[in-house]
Amino acid sequence: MDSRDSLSSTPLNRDGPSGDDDGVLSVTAALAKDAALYFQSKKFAECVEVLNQLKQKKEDDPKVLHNIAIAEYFRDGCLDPKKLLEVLKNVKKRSEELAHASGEQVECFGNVGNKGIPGSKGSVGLSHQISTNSGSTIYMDEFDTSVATLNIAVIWFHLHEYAKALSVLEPLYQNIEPIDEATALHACLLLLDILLACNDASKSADVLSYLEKAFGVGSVCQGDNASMATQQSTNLFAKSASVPSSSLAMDVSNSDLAANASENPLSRTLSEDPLDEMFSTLDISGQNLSRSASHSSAKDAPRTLVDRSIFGVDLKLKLQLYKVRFLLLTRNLKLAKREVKLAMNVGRGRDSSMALLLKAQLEYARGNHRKAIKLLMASGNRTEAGISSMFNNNLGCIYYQLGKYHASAVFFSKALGNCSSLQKDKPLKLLTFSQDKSLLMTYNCGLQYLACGKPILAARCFQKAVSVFYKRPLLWLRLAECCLMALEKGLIKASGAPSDRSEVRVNIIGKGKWRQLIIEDGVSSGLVGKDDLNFGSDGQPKLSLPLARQCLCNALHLLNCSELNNLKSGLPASLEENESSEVVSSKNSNQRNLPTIDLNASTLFVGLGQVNSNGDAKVQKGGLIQETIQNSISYYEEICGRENQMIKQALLADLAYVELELENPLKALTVAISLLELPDCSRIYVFLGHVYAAEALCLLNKPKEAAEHLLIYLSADNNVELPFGQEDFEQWRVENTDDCEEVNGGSVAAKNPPENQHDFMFLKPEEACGTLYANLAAMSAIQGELERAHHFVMQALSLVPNSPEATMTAIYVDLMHGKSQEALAKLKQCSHVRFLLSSLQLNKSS
Amino acid sequence: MLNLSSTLSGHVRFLLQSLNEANADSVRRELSQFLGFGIEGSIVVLQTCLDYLNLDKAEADLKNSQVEAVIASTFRYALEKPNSCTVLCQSLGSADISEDFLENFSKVLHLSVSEKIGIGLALCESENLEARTCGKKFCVAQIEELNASPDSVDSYERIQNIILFLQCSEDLSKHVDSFMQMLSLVQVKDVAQFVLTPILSDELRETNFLRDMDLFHESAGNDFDAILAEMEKEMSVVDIMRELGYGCTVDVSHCKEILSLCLPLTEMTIARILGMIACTHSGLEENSNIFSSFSMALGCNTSSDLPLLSSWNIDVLIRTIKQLAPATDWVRVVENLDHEGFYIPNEAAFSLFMSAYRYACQEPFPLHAICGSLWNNTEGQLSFLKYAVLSPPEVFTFVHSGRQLVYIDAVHGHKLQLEDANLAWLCLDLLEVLCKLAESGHARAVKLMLEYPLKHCPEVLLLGMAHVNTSYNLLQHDVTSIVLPMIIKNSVGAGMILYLWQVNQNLLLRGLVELLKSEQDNITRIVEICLELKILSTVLEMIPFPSSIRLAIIASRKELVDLEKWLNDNLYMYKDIFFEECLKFLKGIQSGRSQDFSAKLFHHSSAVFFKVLKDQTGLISSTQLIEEMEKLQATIMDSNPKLQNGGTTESSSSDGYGDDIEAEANSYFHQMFSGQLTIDAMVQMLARFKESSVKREQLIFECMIANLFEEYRFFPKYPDRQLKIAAVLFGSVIKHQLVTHLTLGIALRGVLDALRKPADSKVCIII
Repeated sequence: MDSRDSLSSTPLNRDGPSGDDDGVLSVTAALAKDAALYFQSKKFAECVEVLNQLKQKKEDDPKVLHNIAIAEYFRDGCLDPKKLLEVLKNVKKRSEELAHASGEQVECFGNVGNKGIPGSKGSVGLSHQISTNSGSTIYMDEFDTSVATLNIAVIWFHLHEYAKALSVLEPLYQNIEPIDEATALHACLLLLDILLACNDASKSADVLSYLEKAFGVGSVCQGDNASMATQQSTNLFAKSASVPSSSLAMDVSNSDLAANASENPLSRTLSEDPLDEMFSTLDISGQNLSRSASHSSAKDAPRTLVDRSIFGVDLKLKLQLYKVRFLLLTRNLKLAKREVKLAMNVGRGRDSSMALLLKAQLEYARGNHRKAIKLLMASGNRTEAGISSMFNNNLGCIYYQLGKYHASAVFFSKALGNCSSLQKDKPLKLLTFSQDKSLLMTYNCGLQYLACGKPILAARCFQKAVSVFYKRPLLWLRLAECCLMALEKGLIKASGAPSDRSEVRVNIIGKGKWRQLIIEDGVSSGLVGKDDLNFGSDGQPKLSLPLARQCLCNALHLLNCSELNNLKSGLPASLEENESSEVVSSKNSNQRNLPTIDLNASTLFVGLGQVNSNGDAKVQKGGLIQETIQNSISYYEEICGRENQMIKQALLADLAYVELELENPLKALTVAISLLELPDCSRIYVFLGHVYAAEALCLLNKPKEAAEHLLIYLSADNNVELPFGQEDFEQWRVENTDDCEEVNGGSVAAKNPPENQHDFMFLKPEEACGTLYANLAAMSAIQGELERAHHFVMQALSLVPNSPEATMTAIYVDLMHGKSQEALAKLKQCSHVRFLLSSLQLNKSS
Repeated sequence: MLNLSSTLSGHVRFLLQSLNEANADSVRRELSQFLGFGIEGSIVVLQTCLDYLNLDKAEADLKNSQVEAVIASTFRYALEKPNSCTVLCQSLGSADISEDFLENFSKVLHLSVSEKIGIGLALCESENLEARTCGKKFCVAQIEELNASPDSVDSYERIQNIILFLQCSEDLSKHVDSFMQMLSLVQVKDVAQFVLTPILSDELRETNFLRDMDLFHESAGNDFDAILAEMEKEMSVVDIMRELGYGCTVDVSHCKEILSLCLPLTEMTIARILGMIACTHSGLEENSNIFSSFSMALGCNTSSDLPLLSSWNIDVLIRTIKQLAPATDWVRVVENLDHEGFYIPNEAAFSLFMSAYRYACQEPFPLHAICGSLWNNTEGQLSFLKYAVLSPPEVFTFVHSGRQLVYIDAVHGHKLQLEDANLAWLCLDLLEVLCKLAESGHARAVKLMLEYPLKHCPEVLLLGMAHVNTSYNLLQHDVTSIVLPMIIKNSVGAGMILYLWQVNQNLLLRGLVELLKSEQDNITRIVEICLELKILSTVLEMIPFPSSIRLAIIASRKELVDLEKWLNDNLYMYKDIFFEECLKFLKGIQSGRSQDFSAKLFHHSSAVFFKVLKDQTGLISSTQLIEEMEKLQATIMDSNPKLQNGGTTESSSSDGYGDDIEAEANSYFHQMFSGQLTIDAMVQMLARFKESSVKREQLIFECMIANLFEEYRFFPKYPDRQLKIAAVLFGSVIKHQLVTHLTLGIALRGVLDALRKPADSKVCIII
């Protein structure tokens, strides 16, 4: 997981120089060696000096430039990633140009002089770049851009720009074969981190299997081997172990959870928050810097690739942990539980904080929150700001999940407080950026405030999180929900319609027998002028309905795009299969007969299966696992698809509502109809779709067509059936938790009662029925069918006695019948009526 | 709706026609104001403008640039509104839309490219297919133009719409890139850029990102701190306690940890805590785990086996609060109870709250805080008062209230069992706040609260209510109409009426008016009381005519008022109005709508009415009224010949008895219906009269029987009690063979009739 860290810490070393003529070579080689030594011992200033000498010898060598940039970067304390990015890009460009110019010249040069193995961490995966150089002479293209590319990707990764990082790294991965082993390993690990951060299950399965094949360390299951290896490694790596490579996967999931709580069940999707990994990274890197000196032993690891077994055990642990993360991502909790146990075994004697964190995440996902808390507390020291902020965030997520929103706020704000103290570490370093999960945490805060009913603060949080999560439809949905909640709470006003329909205001005019009651009809005369921009002067978003509409449009757009993409890439890219098979064979010498054919034919996971299968006895098992992984991917995709459907329903319903509130019935109608056309639409949303469509049609002066939408619910005897039942709610809830239930039956369900909160947001079936009656009554009244209207409105009042709309309709019907006393009695009964001394002055003529 | 549109469009046309330089601004303002009247208004306005423009074009020479400017700005204004799509489509709906038309249209109105795109986008949503394709084409053309010569774009919302529009179909997506490029050249004033993030191209996003990154840690530091500060402000110890459960009050040190999460502990916070513990005094999930792991996570040393509490420990809580905030002003705490979410769900919660208060503070409860004025959280206030009024005095008392009803004189000696009560109903502040609550949507709940005093001390309640005036007087009137009849019947009622008269004449009069509509006995009793209090003439003057006429008639029976003179005086004074009221009254009698025995009484006064009315026709200006009067008189005379002689008929014809006989007969009925005379006594009396040798008594008997049968047709309108009495009497008369022959036939027919009707009709009760 730390691959990225490496980045940070790492200075990449592109090695030195490879001069053509021996004389120069020796000089340059010596210089390069010096530089590498300096770099390793963290004497960056000296390193830069040496490199500059080197530069004079080898003007224009991109590798030298690259190394200078990295060394300078470290010398200056990792400031200004932007500048580094620029330099690296130039180097890359330069290399490409040179490569172009020099044709296919390949140099098989041992880059003896590699410099830097920088203070990477002890963990195996460390500094990829570094390893590159050190690499036991693997052939290298002088103009190879892979290291520069990798470093660029690392920087983007640390800046939380995953899409960017991915776009840089993917081409590298697709052409990974010629790249030297260490760089390739780092690239793969980084890619895996990014993909997991992006919740891309199928691609990460792909990379995972490639890793197993290429660097494959036999299956973890092999107890004996593993334990032996472990022992060995223990000695060697004792120090490295101390690096807590904790990836707090927790956060991620939490956020999802959180999502549940808020009304929509869409929660899952939220899980997006890549936070987890990020966290882990942070810590690590932080430590690297400070401790790298002590890790020297660790550094050797990459070089001494020769010592396969050592490389193996650490990598094995790493891969095992990645596997667990992958399984957690795909919510295959059963398997994840088994794999995490294995990981604990493999990592015995080593730092287990990462495994503990994953275990905590697992328990969290299973709903054993208390156990999760215990694991979290056991997982490491919390003295460092970065780690303690993750710890607090994770606790916040757990309490959120328990339905204790305000308690979770305590932890979230502590977590952000930790971050803020990190941020105060000026000047800004890349590390600071990468350790700063505050943006991710603010998303969690946003969810929590939404659940607590504080839309404005929630929106501020979500807005911060936009810079990380802008690709997630759910984020935009949440922002829109903030607007809607603010509207409901009367914090903002709808543009045209009166915002406060919750009470009927009755004005009393005149005195004695001339006293009259006047009911305000709510036609607003307030003008919404241009000043009603979305933003206040301070650049903070001002919640408004137009803003909600924009957010919903974004979300729909993103959702549609992802659906399109899914369609297009129905088959997971199988580019690498060929290569990978070769790689596997070359690298895993101990693995015999790799049936390449199979590889091609079957999916990526074959690799995994194969790996496991070296123990003959385990062939079967291997096959099983492969199948399960395949299953868990398809299961996960199914879940994602369902979740997207849910999001879409919510989006369309919200959008129709917003358009109605904005008095834009044309658009509202289109949206409501597309909601009704969704396949497998929940009955709840079908109901909303019909009601919204009917209202839009009324506004467009087409009462007949509107009636058609409502009459659907009317049975022959003029009664309305329940438009949806309690079981429809259950459906949403089950979908939320179903994966958990698979794992441990009913207990989960029993444990999450607080989540029911989202029920509140929907009408109860009876209320929905009452609303329908009220609407039917209004419709009949408009069409002049007073008797029918009377029948409906009485039904409505019996179901929703406190609804102002139903009361007003009833009063209207009574007045049309000339029964003013009855109307008055109804006014007095209704609990939303406020009698006011009128401020209106009538003039005599009226 | 039709009305609105025709009126509005007429008005708009007028405005445009009368437009000149001087009023251009005001017309423009007025037009944009119309656009605020929902979509209907907007559509009409735009349509009218459009029509006007077309008309105008016909006489191109006369084109008035002012008109164009005004219409253009109106359209622009409509375009800016969030519902521009519907409004534009609907108002352009009738026009023949073509690209030429749009081109022309925007030229005339001098629309900018961005505005033109807005129109095009709006048309894309039209229901009309042609308009849709045309809008699309128009849009694409304008976007191309925009790309070619970058111009400013109004808002990010427009940009978003454009991008989404371009991206949604394959053939347009080629424009996306050039549009994005254009965007990087254009500066938009708006700050809402973050909304665009997901749809920008990667390059643009990267530039933005890098630009922001520098700013990020410079400004964002502060920004984050601002959010953090906000978060700390929003942290609510109350909700945290609720979530963590009773464990928070396990002992002072733990309680302190929790309460210290948001210091300082203000009175507001304390009020919220008290409110919260009151409504969660039981039923929170008993899970000490949650609390212990919470405090463990916070880094407090907590042994994991804390005792399990089943409710809040008030002692610990209050002690902790006193330690953390020793200077707390408890009166202010109570004043802060008016907060969102405060609600007392039941009696146990109330007593828990009160015991917490007593524990914290020895002073009497500050009544002004709960019934001094209406809270914002009316529901919470109501829930508190509901239990406060019912509490025994040791839990809650109103005895120290500043404004109490001074009732001793008015209700002297009257049973007021207030000794063991908390004197709630003497507290005028309480009554006032209840009246206000009733008028702010809680009428039903407040009436439920009043059930107890209505049963146990109705008079006190009414007298107290009389002191309260609110905008609608909803509750006061309700109480009056329930209690006043009781007082009227009460032998010592006069004292209370006097008190009411002094305190709140309006309320009393309103109650009386309502009473006057009911039984005659009440009217008689009212007359007596008014006489006793010497307020009869004032009352007659002050109440509305329909009631005062009735009151005057009854009073004239007792010779307390000279009906003829009274009628004359009022006719002089009020002329047509009074004349009309008299006619209404007479009509009412004639159609038999007066439901009780007094109808008969009134019947007999009609002669006086006609006499006076006829005499005074000179005062009346409306001939219509006079004609009506004459017509009415004719019908009444026809149906009731005994009135023909101007009301002096003394003949004892079969269907008319002497007034005195009639009056006496009626008085017996009254006695019977008011319970002063039992039915048995009545039957015996009737039997005696029947056999009596005195002619007058025989007449009375006949008159009563006739009246009884005549009343038969009004039985369905009788109140239940009277109906039962009448039914028994009816039966007894038959049983005791007081009726024979012809009259027996009538009686039996009545009974048979009743049987034939559906079983639930009221008349069945007779049998």
